[in-house]
Amino acid sequence: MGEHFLKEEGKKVTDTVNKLKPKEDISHKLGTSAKKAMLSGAALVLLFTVFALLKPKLFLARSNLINIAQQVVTYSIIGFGLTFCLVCGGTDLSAGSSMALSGIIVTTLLIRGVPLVFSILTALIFGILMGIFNGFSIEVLGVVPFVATLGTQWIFRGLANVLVDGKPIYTNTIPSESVQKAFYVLGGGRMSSGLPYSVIITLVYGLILFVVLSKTRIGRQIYACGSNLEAAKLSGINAVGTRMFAYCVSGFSAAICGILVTSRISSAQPMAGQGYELEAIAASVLGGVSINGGEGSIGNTIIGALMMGIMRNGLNLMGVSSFWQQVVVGIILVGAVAMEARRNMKNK
Amino acid sequence: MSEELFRMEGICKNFPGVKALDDVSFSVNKGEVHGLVGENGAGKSTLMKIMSGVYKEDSGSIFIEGEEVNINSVAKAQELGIAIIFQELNLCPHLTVANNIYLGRPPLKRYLISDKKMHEDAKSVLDDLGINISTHEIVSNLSVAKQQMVEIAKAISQKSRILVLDEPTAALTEKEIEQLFDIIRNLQKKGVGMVYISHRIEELEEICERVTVLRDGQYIGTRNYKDITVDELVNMIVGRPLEDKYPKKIRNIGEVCFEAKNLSRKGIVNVEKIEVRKGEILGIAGLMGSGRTELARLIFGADKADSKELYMDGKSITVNNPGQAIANGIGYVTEDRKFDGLALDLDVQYNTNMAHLRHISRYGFIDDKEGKRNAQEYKGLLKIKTPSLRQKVRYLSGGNQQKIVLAKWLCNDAKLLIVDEPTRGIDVGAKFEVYELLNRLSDQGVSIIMISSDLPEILGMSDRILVIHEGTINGELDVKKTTQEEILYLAAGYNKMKKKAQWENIF
Repeated sequence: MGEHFLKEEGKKVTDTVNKLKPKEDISHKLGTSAKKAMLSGAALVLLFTVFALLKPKLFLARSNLINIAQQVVTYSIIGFGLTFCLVCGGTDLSAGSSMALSGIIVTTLLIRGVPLVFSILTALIFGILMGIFNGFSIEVLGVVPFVATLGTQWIFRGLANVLVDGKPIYTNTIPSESVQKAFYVLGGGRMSSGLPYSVIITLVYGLILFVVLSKTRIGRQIYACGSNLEAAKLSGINAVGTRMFAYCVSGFSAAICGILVTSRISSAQPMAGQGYELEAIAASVLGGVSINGGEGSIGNTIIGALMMGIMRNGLNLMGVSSFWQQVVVGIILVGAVAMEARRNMKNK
Repeated sequence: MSEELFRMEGICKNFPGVKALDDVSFSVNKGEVHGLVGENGAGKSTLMKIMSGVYKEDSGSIFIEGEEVNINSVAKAQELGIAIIFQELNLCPHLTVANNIYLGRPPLKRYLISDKKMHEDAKSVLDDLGINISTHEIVSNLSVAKQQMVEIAKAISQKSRILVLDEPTAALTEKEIEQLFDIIRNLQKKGVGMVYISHRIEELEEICERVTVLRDGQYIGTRNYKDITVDELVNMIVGRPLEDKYPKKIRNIGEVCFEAKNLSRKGIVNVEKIEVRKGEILGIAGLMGSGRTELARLIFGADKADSKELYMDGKSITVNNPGQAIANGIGYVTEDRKFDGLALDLDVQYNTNMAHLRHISRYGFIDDKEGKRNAQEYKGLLKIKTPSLRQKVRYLSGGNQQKIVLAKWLCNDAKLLIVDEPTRGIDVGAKFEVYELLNRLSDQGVSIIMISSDLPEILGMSDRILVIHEGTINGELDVKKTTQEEILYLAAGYNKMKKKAQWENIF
């Protein structure tokens, strides 16, 4: 690469130009999202410490920590998918509906006696198909992501309702009892130490997506598309395919989430996951993913989801009503983004 | 005429770790156009931001008509009559000209906006300046030049007495520049003082009486234009003599490397044939909007063509998208690095490697070590000044940004490199480096198509020049036998065969 380019140095002229050498600043060595992750990571530790001091017995109880982990799983997995969409400059408002639809699909298949693995695979494939549908309306039909996925939010939710006539379906109607049990283990099962399998699934899935986003070509392309779409296209990057991929990851993640939740609560609800996409966006942004694209990583999302989970749980333990919790979460979200915006202004 | 309007004395400004301005003094008289020059990073924009109240000086004083003033906010600067016409225009594109001129302060009639009065007032401001634009026109329908005029009219309608023009001609054609100069002369008659920032020394010569030079935040001096030669001025700017603006070069031109036939896109480009030889620099001149960039985009597969045949080394190649172009050894350094050349919020390493992720990845996985090594290599080779490879390119100077765009294509082993306005908005020193780079590439046998509005640059760098007019080639010129006038003549759409006298009659 680049071998034909002469290694000979330029003649004279060059050295005096741009004498103003930019200062050596260690903060350049970290990527922006890494810096943000450090900041929100610090906030996370602070949050944890505060609740641990205020309600040491309740908050630090093993059952409570496991409880938090279980709650965080949902937002994290949907958040992973949304992180892909946000980083490539889009958004996916249909994730919550995709989640419900996938839950309905997997349960319906299981009730009809379709083998477990095949049912799950089908639900996952449908997740990807939902992503492709989103990508199609955005990339081919040219609808802006916000509107396109707002539309599919209703389409997928509507389909979920249509499939079960608006009523929940229960996994205890699955004909084979062994399948019932096996399916429950996915979302509700625990290791002997009490750690839910779903937490492990989330960590493994998160790790895979982390590698995809930060260490692979398609990951780099996602950043390029989100940062400057024109430049990305003119750099020979297949922007349509790249963004399609991001929506597929989101659909796939929603499907995983739908399967896990259905398994844990032993029923598929057509109205499940309402507003989850917004919670997931909030978690990602809180963790440091930029809503404008081009910035953020899976690490940011996990931290953000943990912050949301710990905040909710801590406030619950303190006896704060869920209505006030909403107020607090909203204020913190706006506050965090405002702080970020101020820092950006200073930099410019 | 020489009544002093505005004066800055001993201005200092420090940013953490950088002395941006060190004891700079500067003044503008009524009706004067004062040139402000210096390389990128010399402190021009910091000075300008102090004038407009964006930054506050650390020490020093500012006087308007002999009275000391304290510019502590943008509003205060406006109140004092200081206005800046930025390179990136600050207009609302969806609103009409009149609405933009009176943005935020529309004329009222009994608490309601009087559209009639607004259009009348706007029209009188425009007429007064000799600007011929309808006040009902939507701003986004206007050319950049006209938008700039609206911006100037807006400033004048706010009773501005001191106008700062930041690179006002960067995106204008020769003719539009003349129109702008007419307006500037009009403003001079009204006693408006102007600071004119530009990299184009020829323009300064035409419009400015005095010129002040900054270098590395230091005040180098103020000179009367009539007492100084261009060489002396360049010397002041770069702090050393530049023997020649364009590096001398004997080119070794080989076989035909790239050929394009029947290139067309309806109503925009219609070109029968273009060929470029190995190691040749083919200049493409033409007015803005003549289809130069569109031609490049067609070749590169960025726009769909109605018809096109491309040949590389005699073999037919298919290029339907930029990816295929790159695979076939074509590189395209875009016209506007901020719009479609760089991902500004990503870092140096990222941008350098953006066009050849395939080469630094195996089975879809990125080899970061290789990416870093590559970025490091080009950083050294092109002397890119950056604190680290992790620096966001947004914070680099224009010249360094341009080098990164070039680096992006150099590491792709391009056989044909299309460079579109390769030196726009970068300083003299960085320009020279870019020229040297192009020469070194041509030494390596790379064919280069160089699109430029800068006629001396085209003449100084190319071996052959094609002049484009309304999407077609209106003449091929041998660089040794042609002049700027001839290029302009063809670019304006006149045919070579017609007598030159005719041209002189028209203008």
